[in-house]
Amino acid sequence: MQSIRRYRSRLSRTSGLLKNNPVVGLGLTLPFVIVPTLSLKSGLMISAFLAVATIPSAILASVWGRRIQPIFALPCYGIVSMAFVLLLRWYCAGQALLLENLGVYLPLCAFNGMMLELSLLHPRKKPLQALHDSVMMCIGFLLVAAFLSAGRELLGTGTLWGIPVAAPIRISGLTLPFAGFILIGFLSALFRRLDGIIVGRMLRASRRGAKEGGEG
Amino acid sequence: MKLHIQNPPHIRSRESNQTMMVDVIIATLPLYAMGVYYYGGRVLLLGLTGALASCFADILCQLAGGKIPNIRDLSAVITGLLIPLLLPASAHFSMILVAAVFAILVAKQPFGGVGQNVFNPAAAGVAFVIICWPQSAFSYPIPFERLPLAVDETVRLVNSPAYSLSLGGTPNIDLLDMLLGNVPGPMGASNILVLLTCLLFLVGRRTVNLWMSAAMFGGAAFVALLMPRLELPLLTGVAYELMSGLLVIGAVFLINDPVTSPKRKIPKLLYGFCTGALSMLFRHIGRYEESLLFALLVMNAAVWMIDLWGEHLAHTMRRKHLELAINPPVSKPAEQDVGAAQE
Amino acid sequence: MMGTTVSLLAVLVSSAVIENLLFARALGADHIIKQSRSYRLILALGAGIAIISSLSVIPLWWMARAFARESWWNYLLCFSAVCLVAVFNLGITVALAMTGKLKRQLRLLDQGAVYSASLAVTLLSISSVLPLLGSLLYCLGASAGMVAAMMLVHSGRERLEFCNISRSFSGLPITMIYIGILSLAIYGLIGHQLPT
Repeated sequence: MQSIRRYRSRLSRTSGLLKNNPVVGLGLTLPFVIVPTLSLKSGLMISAFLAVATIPSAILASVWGRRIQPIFALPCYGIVSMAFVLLLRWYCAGQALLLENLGVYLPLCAFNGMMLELSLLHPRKKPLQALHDSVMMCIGFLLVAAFLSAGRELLGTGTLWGIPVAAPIRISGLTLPFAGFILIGFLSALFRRLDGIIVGRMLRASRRGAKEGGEG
Repeated sequence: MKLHIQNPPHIRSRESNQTMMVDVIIATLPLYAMGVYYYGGRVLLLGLTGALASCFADILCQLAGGKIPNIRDLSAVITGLLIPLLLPASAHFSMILVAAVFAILVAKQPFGGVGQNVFNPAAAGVAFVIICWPQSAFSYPIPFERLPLAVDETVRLVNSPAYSLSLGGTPNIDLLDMLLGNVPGPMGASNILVLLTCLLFLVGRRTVNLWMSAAMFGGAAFVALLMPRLELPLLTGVAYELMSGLLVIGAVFLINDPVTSPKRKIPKLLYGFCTGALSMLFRHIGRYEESLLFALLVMNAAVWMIDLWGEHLAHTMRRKHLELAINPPVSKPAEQDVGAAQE
Repeated sequence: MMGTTVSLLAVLVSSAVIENLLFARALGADHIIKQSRSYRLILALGAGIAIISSLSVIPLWWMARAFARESWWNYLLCFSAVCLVAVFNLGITVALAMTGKLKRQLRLLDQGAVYSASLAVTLLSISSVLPLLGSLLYCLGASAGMVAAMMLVHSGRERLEFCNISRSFSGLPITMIYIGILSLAIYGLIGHQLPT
């Protein structure tokens, strides 16, 4: 049981990365990982915009959260997030094609699920804690988005980072939204199964250890 | 009282899952025989690929879920046999493999396996393959032209009558040829006469419900009559619409899936009618020449609501019957009325 | 006249079915997992989204006519849309509270869903470059389509409770697969990838 407690405490220190991953654990920001992640570049770009929308509002919520009236909280954080998103968009104005591919999902980053979770539903009490949790969540999103977008680009269009690559099979349906839904479902199930297998092995090992200790 | 929870199909006779599935497998054999007659031995290889891929995927999924593999109910075999019948005889083996794996891995096993799936696995698998490779899925070889194992550019591929209908043109094919299957089309869907014989066999064996298939034809005919696509006599146009595409094979095999269809009589009729009507509607406004599979998947999702409505209807009717039985309407005898009038 | 009516009807139907917010654009997918099991609430949310987005579209449509060719139009559109959605949302909440129709405040999750869906519908309507009536119909159609999709998925989740789903797949994974297969079926109508 000690090993399972140690495993769980190690996971909770990186909460947002694997345990409580915003996409496959908590089911947040699903639209951003299902539709725009058709190429690795798009996946990384949308992760950057989500990070820029989430981190400032999470820190703001930890500092000023208690002073803002609940009815004004959501529009307030939304406008702050949108300001940062537009700032990053201005900075990335040279990547016009990528920005066009992201379409309506770019301004929607201002009201993403991670922002709602960290600013409204469970605001952190300290700014450092808010910074740590929001960064972990954004890295967790980045991992899933990068994995999914690389796979969809490779098997869907036969390229990776825009460079043609020899893929074993080309399934053009992977670049469509329904494939995103199905892939997220399987990824989430895989995460749970892996967690279950690891805990199961630890439990069996601890029981074996306890039995041997008792016999000894 | 101990209640036993059982998955569909709910059978109250000496029949079992296995006997029902064997009946369906027997019903597909004439279609494969006609496929061999028209296109050669490649057809059998496609069927074998589909069946083996489905069984293998089923076994792997059950092993991954920690269960003892069991394919004796033959549901995976039927899925694998149906998939090539819904595609052209010139379909690549990789298409059959992908469709079979998708059907089992995505549409069947995550929902709990046999008897629990919400969507028809064969329909989901073929729909996926149609979207991924539309060019290959809607290009058909000409009957009586023997196909090589590896289909290349030398094989002549043409469009089906459904394509002509989608463009608003009359197919350059006799109705009799469409009935006999002497037209380019999906491998198992163009032999209308053989399909209707299979339907009669399955109805005779009580494996399928004739009324659901009839309701599906009714729904499709209704929309075809309301919104004709051809400038022909109405009945001729309806006949072309009903005999083209996957409508007939869908009415025989796909709509009668006991797991994904409603349980009571009136909901079954409604389900069949709506599937046929939606399929014809999709043909009008959809992008693909054939949309039965997509309409069927949408209706599979609506089966739960149809079943709930059917239960509510059955309870209401039963309550009304009980009320009538307990308190029958009383009519005054004639002498009492006359006596009351005289007073 | 007939042609205009047909084209407006086509806008309504395509925004509801072909460009369905949930099945074609995955918007609302994260909210659907956590939403409370109430058809009434789904209808109320849909009505709210329709009203807020329709009200927001009117001033934005006029602004688009004036400034659409400017290089800074996209920035102005996004910022104005957020502000307008916030203002109208607050206004409707206060009006409902004052008239006594709002018995209790919506959950933060539902409020967030209304904000993001209203913003999405407003931006999509403006980017479709339609006449004003067409844009309003787009908002109504998109909201209605989203409500219908949510109800379909909600009834599907009720059905899934009777399936013997393994622990790994229960909850989020099976709901995503369910929506994915429905989205596959709706794609049969579209036949091509929608622009984001």
